[in-house]
This record gives sequence, structure tokens and C-alpha cells, in this order.
Amino acid sequence: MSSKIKFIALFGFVLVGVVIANSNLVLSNRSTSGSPEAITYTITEPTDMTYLYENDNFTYYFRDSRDVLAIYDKRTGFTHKTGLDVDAGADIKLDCDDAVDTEDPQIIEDTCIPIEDDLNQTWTALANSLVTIEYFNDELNLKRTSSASPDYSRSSLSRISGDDHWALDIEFNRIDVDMRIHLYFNELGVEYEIKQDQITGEGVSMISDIIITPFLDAQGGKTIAFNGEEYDNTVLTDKPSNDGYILVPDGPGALLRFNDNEVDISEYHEYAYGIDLSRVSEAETMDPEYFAPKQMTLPVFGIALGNDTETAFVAYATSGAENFKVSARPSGNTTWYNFAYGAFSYNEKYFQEVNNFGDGFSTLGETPNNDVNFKIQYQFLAGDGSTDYEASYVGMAQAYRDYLVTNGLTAPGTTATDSNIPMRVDFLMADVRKDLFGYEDVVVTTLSQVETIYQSLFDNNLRNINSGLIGYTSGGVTAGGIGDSNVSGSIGGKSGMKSLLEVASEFGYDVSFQTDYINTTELQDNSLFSPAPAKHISGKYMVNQILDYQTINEYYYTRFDKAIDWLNKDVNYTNNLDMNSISIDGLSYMAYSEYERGVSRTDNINELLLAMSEIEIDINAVNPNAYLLPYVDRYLEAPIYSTHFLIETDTVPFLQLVLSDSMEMYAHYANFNVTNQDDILRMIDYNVYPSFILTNDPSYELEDTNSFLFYSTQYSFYEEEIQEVYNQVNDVLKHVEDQVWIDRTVIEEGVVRNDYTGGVSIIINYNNQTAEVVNNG
Amino acid sequence: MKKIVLTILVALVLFTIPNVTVYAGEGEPAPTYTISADDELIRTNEAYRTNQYKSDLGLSNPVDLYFDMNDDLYIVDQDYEDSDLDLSGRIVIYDIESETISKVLTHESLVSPAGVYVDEELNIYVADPGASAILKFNSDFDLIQTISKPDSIAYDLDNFKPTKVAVDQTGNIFCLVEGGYGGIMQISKDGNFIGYFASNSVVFTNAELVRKFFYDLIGREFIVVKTPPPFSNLYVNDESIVYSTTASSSTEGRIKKHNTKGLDTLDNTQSDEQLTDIYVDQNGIIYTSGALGNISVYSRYGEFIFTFGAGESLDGDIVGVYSNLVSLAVSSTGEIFTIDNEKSYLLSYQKTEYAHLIYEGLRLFDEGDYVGSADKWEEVLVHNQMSKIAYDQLGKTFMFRQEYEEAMEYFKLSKNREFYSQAYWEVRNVQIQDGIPTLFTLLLAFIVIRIGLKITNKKTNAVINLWNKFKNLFKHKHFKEIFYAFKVMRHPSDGFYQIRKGRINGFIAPTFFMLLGFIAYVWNTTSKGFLFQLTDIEDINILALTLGYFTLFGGFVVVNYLVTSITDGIGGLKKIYISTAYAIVPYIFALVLSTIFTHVASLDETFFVTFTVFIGVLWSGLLLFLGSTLIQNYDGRVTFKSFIFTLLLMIIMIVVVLFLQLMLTNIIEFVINVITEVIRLVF
Repeated sequence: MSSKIKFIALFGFVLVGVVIANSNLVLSNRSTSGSPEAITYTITEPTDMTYLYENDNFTYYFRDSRDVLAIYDKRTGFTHKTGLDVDAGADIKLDCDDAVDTEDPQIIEDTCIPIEDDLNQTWTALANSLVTIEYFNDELNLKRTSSASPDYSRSSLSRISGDDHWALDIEFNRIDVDMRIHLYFNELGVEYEIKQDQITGEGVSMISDIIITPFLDAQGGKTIAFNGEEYDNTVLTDKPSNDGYILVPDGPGALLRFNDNEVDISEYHEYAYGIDLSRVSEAETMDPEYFAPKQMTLPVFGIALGNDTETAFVAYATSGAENFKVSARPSGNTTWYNFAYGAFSYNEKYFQEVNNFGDGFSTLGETPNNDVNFKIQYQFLAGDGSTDYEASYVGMAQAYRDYLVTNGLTAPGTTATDSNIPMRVDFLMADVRKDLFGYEDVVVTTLSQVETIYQSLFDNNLRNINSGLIGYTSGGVTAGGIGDSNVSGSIGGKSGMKSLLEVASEFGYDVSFQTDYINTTELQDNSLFSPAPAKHISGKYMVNQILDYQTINEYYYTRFDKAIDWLNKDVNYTNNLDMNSISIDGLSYMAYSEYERGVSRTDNINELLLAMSEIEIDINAVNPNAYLLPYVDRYLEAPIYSTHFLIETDTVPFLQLVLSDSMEMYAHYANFNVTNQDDILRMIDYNVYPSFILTNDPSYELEDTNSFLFYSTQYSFYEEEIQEVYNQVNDVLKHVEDQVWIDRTVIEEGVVRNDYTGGVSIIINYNNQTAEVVNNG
Repeated sequence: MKKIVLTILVALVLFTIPNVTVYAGEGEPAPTYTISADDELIRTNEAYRTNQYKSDLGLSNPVDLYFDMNDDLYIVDQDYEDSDLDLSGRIVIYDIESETISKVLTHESLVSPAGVYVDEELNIYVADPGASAILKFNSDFDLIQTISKPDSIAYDLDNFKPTKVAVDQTGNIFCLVEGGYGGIMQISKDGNFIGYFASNSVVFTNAELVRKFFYDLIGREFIVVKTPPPFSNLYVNDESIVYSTTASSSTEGRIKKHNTKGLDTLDNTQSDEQLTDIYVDQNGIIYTSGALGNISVYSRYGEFIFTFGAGESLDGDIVGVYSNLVSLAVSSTGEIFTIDNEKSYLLSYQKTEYAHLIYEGLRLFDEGDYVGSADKWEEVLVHNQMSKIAYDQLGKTFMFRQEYEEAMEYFKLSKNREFYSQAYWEVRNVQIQDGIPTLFTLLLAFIVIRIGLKITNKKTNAVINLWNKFKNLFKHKHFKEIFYAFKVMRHPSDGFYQIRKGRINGFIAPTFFMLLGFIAYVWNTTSKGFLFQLTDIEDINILALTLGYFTLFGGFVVVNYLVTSITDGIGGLKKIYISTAYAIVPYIFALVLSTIFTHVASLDETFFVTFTVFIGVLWSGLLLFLGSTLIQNYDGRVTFKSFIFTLLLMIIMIVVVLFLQLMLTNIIEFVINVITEVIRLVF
């Protein structure tokens, strides 16, 4: 493997690592392509609209009849409109009919303007609107009504306090809901806020989603022209439109380029921090036969127009993010537009079972599940990054990163403890399999064997290692009591642990206990007086069925208070052993409301944050949600691939750019891809560190346990590979360990340049030919 | 094999991927599965990675793919309508290098093409059900032959709607037609119908088989109109071997590799889903596409290697999760191209190093390079230590090199009992040969010691005294009663007579036999030798074993007592208990003997293992019968009657017990639920 990657050139005044891989150019949506075409169509400053306010960067206009807010960017001369700003086709047709009756060619020409194709009355209202509500009708089917729907809604804009604070009061007459949305104009763009107590009316609990500015910077569209006699919908004309893409935080980040799709492709539609499992339709969930879509851990999305140096916006939820969701639709799906929006989820329907045979009915939650205000900031980016954030996904990441840093939502400036990058080496200690009399522990690694492996790693010059011990309590991964903490005697007990800690300390390695506090089995909870499983709103236990598992197929989701209690106990135990960190799985990426306990998702998150703030040791977290970022020191299982939705055209390291220099990020275990060159290059490209999971004994010992997923973990097989993978990644990334990632450019198809502070650039060549790169300093 | 079928079926129909932990291959949305030694589908390394994804080729209704010898991909676009030329259906030729359409074959004769084949001279054969013909075009797209409905009387269909076509080296055309239950049609190069090359046979469902059994029983003819399952696709490789897929309701026989007589040579290869297409590469590796969106790969002998892909995403359109996977083709470099009919996109997969290792391992083995092959398989094992095929193939490489002990080790890991047995036979053979001198030495030593003891005894009587002391130990009542079992076995009449007379009346000995019987039963169930232990210990429920054994034993004693007490029996409950316990002793011996025997026998000696148990059961059954006759003072006829009643009553008792148990479980569950809920609410 190592022969395939060559670190061949260091040149220029900057250090430039050129990595050549013997891999074929991959043109699929796993990689990033070059910038889109430059902007060809610009909306001029909309002076025909009502002037609201201006600051150094923007002038704000409003069209009351359609609820369209226009933001004129003084830096670029580009106008961003929150809606399409068009009249409904049906209205134009009616007017046109009247005009035809006049037989005056001029009136006909002025009145019979082209109408939008595939945009009916409801969709036109949505396309114009500042706010659209998705609501449940009496049959609990989803319907939409928009602030700009003239027949069913009424809205009025008014100044609140100061020139930069306005509010739109909307009456959604279709479901009897009144709502006020606040508009705060600032130097970044505009921030919207909807306060809970300002959503009133009989129909409040019928609201499913509150959609904010669904068609902001939407591109595409086709029109039907009037041919003198009628609107001939067999002849469609493309509307003037710009090239560009939508950024969604799927995995590390994915771009959805504006394509003319010839087939109907489904939209991207994901919930921040995953869906609230206690409010989904059914209490029991079952995993699909493909990997479930990757969880959206950052409540952010954006749209860039032009060639990455022109104009863009990034939108992020600044309050109520746990109810935030992002939707992006490609052209050809329902409409001819590419558009993306953020929405706040309000109420869900669920199935209420009334007996054990599964009979029941669908119903809505009694009260809306949210008790926080919804806030979303739209930040507009301009130019090539020389004066402001670049108008690309890189600029979006930097803007969002700065927002997080400024608000203390992530802690930048990690200091490297070693001149080499760190590596994650987890150990799977034990699990259980069924035997004649119940369950039997299968120990695959003991603590003394970990010591031996540490010695071997140290002898192989691997000096900067941190580890999680998985399944360290009696009963291992599947049956080990959580919060019980005690190291199982079968792997070496407390004395073995102390001995291991001494060895680790001697080598400078970090050892921690790694536990999934959320996905638990009935074998893990032995508390009679305080059962751990959480309940669905329907009153049933929330269960996840994993049918091909070997010992136990049913996984419960733990009550949050229990999970946090267990975490605290483990932290105490860890403290008693003078360990430096703890590794958290499950609790790091899952959060749900618990109707039975009367707590919302927000309450649970806040409780977790309180607990986290009191932990003084380092926290290693598996794929943590954004709210945990201030506390996390090591980000485990960082995604480097998106879900591969058909709609996604590129994968980009948005997440890694946001968290650059804030924490150490580790890739998924490298065991399970056979020396995949692309993956190693990708680790370098995405600035993530390698990780492995090891056992001392052969993995086939685990075949009859729920850890059968770890089909290749034996250290003796991996001794060399660990060194090879580490050395390849370390040789490059050690130069940027303390640096902030400032730019990423696709030089040519398959060749990427990453720029870091300190004048360091890394060039990654995914092609199998040498790439010539001109160093332009 | 049946277990494999069931496991695959269940696993594939229901198998789910956890979102709790996604470890394998982050790069692909659909995981790759292989088979573990337990014949369960388990995740493995990515075998293929998606490469080219094309949704912008303007395809309307793509239904079939085929690669010509120049690696040009032919795509049948069935319902494409050209408004200018008023043509319908076309063949699109896609250049996989430039990722563009290089040529398009349109012709007025093409109506709605469904299948395509290209021979070495780049003649294109198109099966067109709309045109009711097989059309042959040359490489310049000139129509050079049209094969219409055969005139032969052997062709029994009213119409001729060919859907798939393939041609062998000699120009013989094989095709499938709509409604063609006759099988794969063979047509000569001149277009003459030769006959049906291969046919499927009618498959009866289990329900139909049961009905047939009862119809036969009452002497009525079982009439059901059934047609054989139709072939769904076919492929002919460059060695003129015909492969086919069958749309069968059974998981068996969906993939066939036909010999020259048209018979299947794959020994009922399993497939969990209806297959839509089959393709075979130059190394004989078989690729299939399934209606559920899975792409499966088999060795040339039909051994399952791995499967990947998925169908019907609830989460939106995901690359590699198909809406309707209808066809696949494999390029000369091994890249798999697939087509989704509903979404009209082309998606290709490049094999990973992992898949390459497996194919190399198989190829080298076929070429007789067992050392090279073993190297590859060992590398495969590094990346998946649960891979059945890797252990199996490694075992074979050692077996073929006559290194039987190593082979045994790997066959044990792959749980390939057939090959393990063969290797073990060889190893045991050597062990026996090696053991003969030791055996003779031991025999000699025994004779010498015996003579020595005799001489010593003559002089001092020491040995006889020692023996007498030893014998005295067994004069204890309980020991005597235990050893009485041998008397019962050898002389049942005498033996049971003593029991009837109450001379053997202790509880210790019979209880000892009852418990010994239980231990022997559990031991036999759980601890047979590898070749004979077909159920894994984790799948055995000790509670069920215990309940089963004691319910049967105790139930028999009690029920037999109840029955005999109303049919003039004179033996009481105690005597029935004692006689039953003594009666099962031969069965206990048989269980112990056969269990021991399973540890040294190969599969060739299976008969002896089962025969031992059979003798034990027969002997015990006889003793039970004789015992009851003697103890109750019955004649044979009455005993038989009482046994029949006992059996019936036992069945009723078991049903009642099960019913009670079910009720009790429900009540307990209800009480626990109430308590848990109360606790939840209070605390």
C-alpha cells in the first residue's frame, strides 16, 4: 500500500505535499468537482419595492402583496429575494382572458405575460412567501398555507423597535393561526425569529412545520408563453437562471448542483440531530436494509450562486435548532426550481395503539412539543474571500465556524501534544453469546493483552494514541451493566486496569471507557425501581429492532435522566482511577423528548449540557450533535462520505472545515476497508485522523455475539497496516496539526488543494497520473 | 443445506441494517454481505464501490444490458419513441471510457426490443416481442436476418414474442419467449427451430404435496393445472455454456448452468429473490441481479460469494438503492454495470481489492495453484475472519495438497462437515496405522501384567483378597440395586418379577437412572462430535430440554399409573416408576455410546451412530413393554392397549400443560407490567 502513495514534492515558499495515488479518478458524488459557471443573471436593485432599511452591506426592500423581502447586497450588486415574486398563473390567465376580450394588442401583450409551468396556486404562494405553514387537516393529511396566499392569509409588516427590527404579522385563516415573525436586519444579513407565545389560535396544534423563506435564491424555472390565442404548455422556455449549488450538512457536507435532471429525483429532507424518536409515527422502529441516512449534526445549509467567488448565503438555526430541518429539492421534482429551505418542526402525528394486536388510530400530540423560540440567521457571503467570507461552501463553513466561536459554541485553538498526529485505537474487550444456561461472556481482549498491544504499538514508533475500551464491564457490549462501571474480572479487573493505566501513562497514551448510554438491551438494565427504557408518546416503549443481530434483537432507547446518571457514575469511576478522558456513544448524537416524564427534547439536551459542563476530563464523543461541540475534545467516527442521495452531486468537508482546529477528528474504523487508497487520501483531504478497533483474539470468536459486525479486528493481522495507514496520514497532516484550514480548491478534476494558516498547503491527487501544480504562493 | 436455504431466505427477506452502529465501509450506502460459517448473512468488506452514475443519457425505458468484445455497452431502450422518424425502441451503445453514448441503433423493424446479444463479429441480435421476431443486424446496423415464428409443429405457442436472446460459438440461437413454458428455445443459425434446449419442471408447493398425499391415500387422482416456472433470463458465455435464471417460487434452482444436454450442473444454487438478469465473466464468476435490488456474485460452481445493493428506499433516492433493477452486465475489467428501469439511470460498480482477492483465490485454485490460492484466501481472512468461503477454500487448498490436519482446522471453522469428514478420515487412517504398534505393546503389557498377577496371587493370595475387598464395596443395597439394571437388561422376566414382588423397591437406584438418563440426553444433545453436532449450543434451550425430558418421563409414569389402575393393573405408582427407570437403562447406554462414537466417527460411519441409538430405543421400548406386562400382570394385548391409552392421555396432558403455561405466562407478564408501571409512576 505504501508504495502507492508517494510524498513526492516539497516546493515553493510554502510546504506543499503532493500525494499521488494509484487510484482511478472517481467521478461519482463521493468527490468534489470544480466551481460552477459564473453568474449570468442578476436581479438589479428592486427600487419598485418598499424600502425598509439599509446598513453598510445591505439595503432591504419588501413587497407587501407577495410578502417578498429583497436584500440588495451593496458589495456585489446582487439582490437576494426571499421569494419568486411572481403572480399566480391562474390569476394571470384570468386577466389575460379579459385582455383578449379587449382585442387591444398592447393590453394583451402587457397582460398576457408568460406564466410559470408546474407552479399551481398553492405552490406559487409558497414560492413567494416569507413563511409557509405545513399543517395537518382533519384527516391528518399534510397541507400547506402560505403568508403570501391572498385568499387564505393576511399579513402586515410593521416596524418594532429601531429601524432594523421589523415584524410580519400573519393570519393563517385556513387553520386559524396567528403568528408574528420578527426580522432583524444586521451586518450579516437578516435574522428571523418566531416566539412561541406569538403563535396563537385554535389551530396551533395542527401545525406540522413552519417553513421560512422557501424560495430564497431559488434557481431554475420554466415559463409558458401566450401564443396569441392560448397558453401553450407544450412549449416551455427556461427562465434566466444561475449556476450554483445547495450545501446540505449530510455526512461531512454535500453539494446539490443545479442540474436539469431528466428523471424525477427525490428531495433531501433531514432533521437536525435526527428525528425526535419519541414523536415519530411508531414506537417500534426497524432498520432499513441499507445504511440509514447520515444524521444532520449541524443545523445549517446554504446556497452558492456563480463560480464560488460571487454570492452565496448560509443559514443556521441560532435557537430551537433541535426542531430545525432542512429540505432541498432539485429541479424536476414537483417544480422546475432548485430550492432549499430551513423549517422548524412543530407537531407530529403518531399512531396510538389501543391494544396488543396493534389496533389503533393516528392522532396528533396533545401539546406542541417545543418550548423554545425559533431563530434562524441568514448570512450573505460575497466575493472571493479576499475581503469577506468567500461565496462558496468554504466561506459558508468559515462563517458558521466564526458564529460558533463567537458564541462560545465551539472552542478553537486545540494545542497539539505531540509533533505527530494522534490516532484512535479502540479495544473491543468482551461481548456475550447465548449458551445453554443463558448468556456467556466472550472475552476477546484482556487488559494485559491491551498492555502487550500498547508495547507493540510503542515499539513501532506510534507515540500519540488514545483508546476507548468497549465492553469492559461484566457482560461486555450487549449485557454489560451501564453505570455499574466496574471493570469485569474476566478481562483483568480493577487491578488489571490500574496496571494498564501505568503502562499507558508511561507511553503517553490515553485510555478511556467507551459506552453507548442510549442504545441498550434489557440485559443491561437491572434496576427494578427505575426502569431505563424511555417511552414513546403513545405510551409504548421505544424499541429498535435489528433483526440480524445474534443474541438480542431489541434495543431500547434509554431515558435521558438515566443515561445522564450513568454517564456521571462512569465519570466518577474514571476520576477515581485518575483517567484523563471518557468516550461517549449514543448520548452524543441522540436526543428525544419524553412525554411521559413531561420533558421536551430541549429539556433533555439542556440536562445533558449541564452534566457535560461539569465533566472536567476530556470528552471523546461519537458523531456529536452541534450542541455538544463546546465540550468535545475528540470527535469520533467523523463522517467522510455523504449518504449518497441521488440528488447529491459532490461531497465536501464542510463539517471538518467548521471544526478545524477546534477538536481532533477521527475517521471511522479503518479496519473494514481493504487498504482503500481513496479512503487514506480522503482522510488527508478531510483532515481526519485514522482509527482502528482491535481485539487480541480472532474476530470469529465474536460470530455468535452482537459484535459480529466487527469481522476483522485481530491485532496480529493489523500490526503492519496500522503503521502504514498512520504513517501515510501523519506524514502529511502533522504539518497542519495546529493550523486552521482556510481554503479548499479543486484545481482540476481529482486534484484538490487545501490551504492552512502558517502558509501550509496540501495538494491531494486522487488521479493515477502525476498532476502538475503551479505554486502561485 | 435446508438450513442454509431458510437462513438466507429469512435473512434476506427481513435483514436489516442497524443505524446504531455502522462500522463496515462508510463509503457505500448499501453494505456487502457474505455468508458466515453458521450460514447466516453477515456484513463484510465492501466488495464493490459505485463508480459511474448516469441519469442524463436520455433513456426512456432501459431493460437490458450487454457488453460486446470491445467493451461497448449495449443498452436496450424499449419504449423510446423518436417523434421525427416515428420509430419506437432503440439500442443505445454506451462508451464506458468517455461515458457518453457513442452510437444508437434505430431501425423501422425495431418495435419494442427487450433483449440484446452481440457476437464476436459484432452482429447484434435483438429479441423484439413487439416485432414478434429476433432481428439480426450487422455492425453497420443493417438488418441481415429476421427470425419469425417457427413453422415447426414442435413449436406449440400461438405467437412468438422473444424477450431474451443469446448465441453460442457455433451460431446456435437460444431465446426466451413470452408465455414460453416449454423452456429455452434453441434455433439454428439459419433460423430453424431445433427444439427446447432446457425446461423447468413443475414445482408443487408444500400444501399441494400434502393434498396430493391425502388424494393418493383415498385413491383419487390429484389434478392440478400447473405450469413449470418460466425462465427469466439467459446468458451464453464464450465457451458456449448456457446459464439461465428461473422465476421460481422456490429459492432453489433459480440459477442454472446448463450442460450440453440442458441439465443444471449447479446443484440447486440458492437465491433469495426473483432474479432479473445473469452475467458470467471470463473466469466463470456468475453475477445476478435481483428484483429486490441486490446484486449477488457466485463462484463458477454456484457457491455464494457475496451480495450487495438494496431496494426500495424509504429515505429518498440513494445511489445503489434500486427502484427496479432489471439488468446487469460486466465489462472485461470486471466493472459491473446495472440499470434501473424506473429511474432510468445507469450505475456501475468497480470491484475493490477485497473482491479482487477473492476472485484471484478462486482462479488460482481452479488453475491448481493451491499455494498461491491459499495466500490469497489468507489475505481475505485478514479482512474478514468470519468468511465461510475463505475458510472453505483454504481448507480445500490444504486438502488438495494432502495436508489433512490443516484442512480439518479450516473446514471446522467453515463448518463444512462433508469435507471435514473426508479430511478426518484420512487423518484417522494415519492415526490408526500409527497406533497399531502401541496397541500391540499395550496388549503385550496387559498379558505380562496378568501373568505376573497370577503368579503373585498364587504365592500370597494378595490379588484375590484385594478383589474381594473391592467386591464387598458393592454389596451395599443401593449399589446392588444399581447393578440390578444389568439383570433387568439381560433377563427382563426375572428382573421385573423381582420388582413386582417388591424385592427391588428402593428409590435411589431408579432416581439415579432417571437423572443419569437426563444427563446422557443433555450430553448427547449438546456434546456430540463436530460432525454430528448440527445444532449450535447457543440455539439449544436447556429449559425446554429439562421440561421435555421430565414431562415425558414423569408424565408416562403418572399417566400409565392412571390408565393401569382402571384396567385391572396390580402394580402401583412406585413399581411403575421403578420399572420405567430400569427400562430406560439401555437407552442411556446407547446415548452415551453413540455420543462417544460421534467423537471418533466420520460421516461414513453415521449408520453406526444412529444404529446404536436405535438399538437402545428398541431395547428400552421392549423392556418398558415387558415391565408393564409383568408388573401389572397383563397379557401383551392389554399392555398394548394400556400403552395406547397412556399415549393419548399424555398428549392431552401436554396440551393442557402448554395451555396452562401460556396462561400463566400471560398472567405473570400482566402482573409484572402493572408493577413496572406503578414503579415508574411512583419513583
